[in-house]
Amino acid sequence: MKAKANAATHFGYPDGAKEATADHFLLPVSINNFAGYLTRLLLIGTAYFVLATGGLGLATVHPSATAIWPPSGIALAAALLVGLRVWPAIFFGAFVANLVASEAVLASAAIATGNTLEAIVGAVLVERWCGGRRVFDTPLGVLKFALMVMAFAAAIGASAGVTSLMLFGLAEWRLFADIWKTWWLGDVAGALVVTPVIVLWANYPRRRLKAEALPELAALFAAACAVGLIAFSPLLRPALVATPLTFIAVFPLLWAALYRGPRDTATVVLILCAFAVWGTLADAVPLFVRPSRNDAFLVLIAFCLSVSIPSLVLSAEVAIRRQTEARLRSREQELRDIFKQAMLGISLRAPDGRLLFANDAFCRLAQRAESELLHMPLRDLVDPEDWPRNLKLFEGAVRDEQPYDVEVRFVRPDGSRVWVHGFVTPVFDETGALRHLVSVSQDVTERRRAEERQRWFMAELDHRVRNILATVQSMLRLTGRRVQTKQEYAAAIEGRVTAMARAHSLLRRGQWEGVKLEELVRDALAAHLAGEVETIAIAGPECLIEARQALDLAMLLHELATNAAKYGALSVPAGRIAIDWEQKRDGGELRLHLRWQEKYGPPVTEPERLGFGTELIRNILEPHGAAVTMEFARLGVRFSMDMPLVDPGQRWLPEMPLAD
Amino acid sequence: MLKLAGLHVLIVEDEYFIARSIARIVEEAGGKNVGPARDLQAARDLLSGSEVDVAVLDIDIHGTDVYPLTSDLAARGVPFLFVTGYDVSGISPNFQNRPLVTKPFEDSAVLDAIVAATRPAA
Repeated sequence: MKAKANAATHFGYPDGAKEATADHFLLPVSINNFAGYLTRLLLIGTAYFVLATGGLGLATVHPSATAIWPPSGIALAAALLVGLRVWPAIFFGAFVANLVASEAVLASAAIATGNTLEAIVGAVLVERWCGGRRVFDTPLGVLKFALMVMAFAAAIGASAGVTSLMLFGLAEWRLFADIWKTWWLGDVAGALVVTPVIVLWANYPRRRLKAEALPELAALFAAACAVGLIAFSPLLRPALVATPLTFIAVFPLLWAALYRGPRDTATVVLILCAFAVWGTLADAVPLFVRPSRNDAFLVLIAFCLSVSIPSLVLSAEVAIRRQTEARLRSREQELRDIFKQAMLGISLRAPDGRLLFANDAFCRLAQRAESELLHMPLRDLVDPEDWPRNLKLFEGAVRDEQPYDVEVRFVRPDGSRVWVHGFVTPVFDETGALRHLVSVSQDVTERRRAEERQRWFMAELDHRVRNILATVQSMLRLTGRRVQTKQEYAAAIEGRVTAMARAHSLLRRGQWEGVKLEELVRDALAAHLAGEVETIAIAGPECLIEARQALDLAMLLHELATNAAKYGALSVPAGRIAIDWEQKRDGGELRLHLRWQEKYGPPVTEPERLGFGTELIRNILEPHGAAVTMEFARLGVRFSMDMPLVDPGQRWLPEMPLAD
Repeated sequence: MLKLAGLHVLIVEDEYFIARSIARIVEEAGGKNVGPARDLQAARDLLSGSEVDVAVLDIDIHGTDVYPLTSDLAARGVPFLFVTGYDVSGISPNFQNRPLVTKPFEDSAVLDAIVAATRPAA
């Protein structure tokens, strides 16, 4: 019977107690099992007969009434385990046994009927009100079982039995009470001593019988036998005749009840009672010795009952506790596993802020071992700047009985800080007082840094845009002051703004790390060329210009080109411009030397060339430390500049602040 | 009446066009331009070599903050104001109470800020 994971296996019956198949049919359920059914009937019936005959052989008050009646135990166990359809076995076993003892057919039949009813009624009652075959698993079940047996089952059996005897003239009516008492007690003892053993072994045949447990079990049963021998048996009689050692029976019972569970306890009960019976029969038990045999048996029965009921109750209670304990422990372990290995930091703290629990992730956040963290007040972990905010939120949360969010910095032992986002839930007990706080924490340093970076970028972007707009605004104003007509103004502005825009394009293409000087030059002149390749001569090494310098250089080139187009070499087809540059290292500084030479243009007169454009040319590179010369030679305009070059690798953006 | 008559104004701004704009505003209002200085060193040189009554500072000078210059200015008792593309929240908290002109600006905004900076502290 492989483990179907049923409730029984999960909740504490690890070897899977056999499922109760409580059927209440008095007849066999199906023809297929008939053979099995018959076999069982035969076995049960035979066992019943054997024990019944033995029991009847011990009859003292009446040949048919015996104080030692194990068969009732077997009958009840069979009815509980197999079902009510075992009744034929009980009936015939009882019938034949009584017949053999008394040779009275009708009386035997009547008695057998009583015994059968006893078992059937008992089983039905136990099934309905005591938990069926699980009756011995709880203390209450054991007590209820005893009650059912005493008040009903045994009473029925005894009443039916004794009445039959009286009716069929096999006993005198005046002895009714005595015989009934003996019969009843015998049935009770039989049920209480024999039924538990059978039922419990049937339920838990393999529990705790693994190799390591067997020695203990063997020792227990050996001890029980030893106690039985010492306390009850006739073997030691010469030495210990007067000493009532009966009471040492309590030791194996306690051992079994506390450490071995109900099944083994019931077994010890059976062993001890068996020895007690033997001893009583041999008159070897000082405590049980009485003037009449029957009275001795009654004391024996009393012993059996007082031995079986309390120990079964105790063992059931202990077993339940053990199971609960195991369940709790396993559940605690599950929770602990979840708690410990969770990726988020989880912590529990007392109302005064001391940490009660912290999982691994939390310890990593704080960079401290759990042992160090426990009982540390939270205040010691949190950056003093952030504490007032946390305290305020905490007080609010307690007042409103609501969880709260907070972001604070933890201070690590090495002094570094980490931003932690905590979600804190206050937990209250039944009286409404704050019991503890559960907090789920997460390292949000990266997130904050990312947010900070984003804020910074937005501010920088804003700043850049404003600067560009301000530059354009200035350019608009400055241009407006030096032109005569609206058309001039419009053309100049359009040209300059377009030049700025194109310069930005070049920069963007160069990933804001620099622009090749040749590209700058060609771009500034592109509008004025339209195919005349020989007009412009460009020569110079590859030279990467840093972003800010490139923008201003673009404006400069635009002005030079515009002026050339308006008044200079580009205004006539014969005009030529030669642009060349070189890089020189001058005492650790790299300088750019650039020349713009116009030729074959119209004659140059200086006054014509004065204007904002010229001013711009002279001054736009001044903030970059450039020295500029402009000559209005007769041949053509000559412009030269000498400027220290900024390393293009230098960041365009100022250093971004790092979040702490 | 010219608002900045006789005032020597130190301009610290690395962008040519904007520096020219501020300089023009100062001149048209009767003030005298000192600079413009395009970096902190040039500004310090001008400060020690000339008479300066008030300083107009751009916050971002070629990638560095202008804040260190303010201690030089304070040592010389020169009031200052900011002209910047940064929003007031982008300014260091120590200086958020200074007169501030955001770019792009109106002429009048610059003039009013300079006048406010030179007014004796209340």
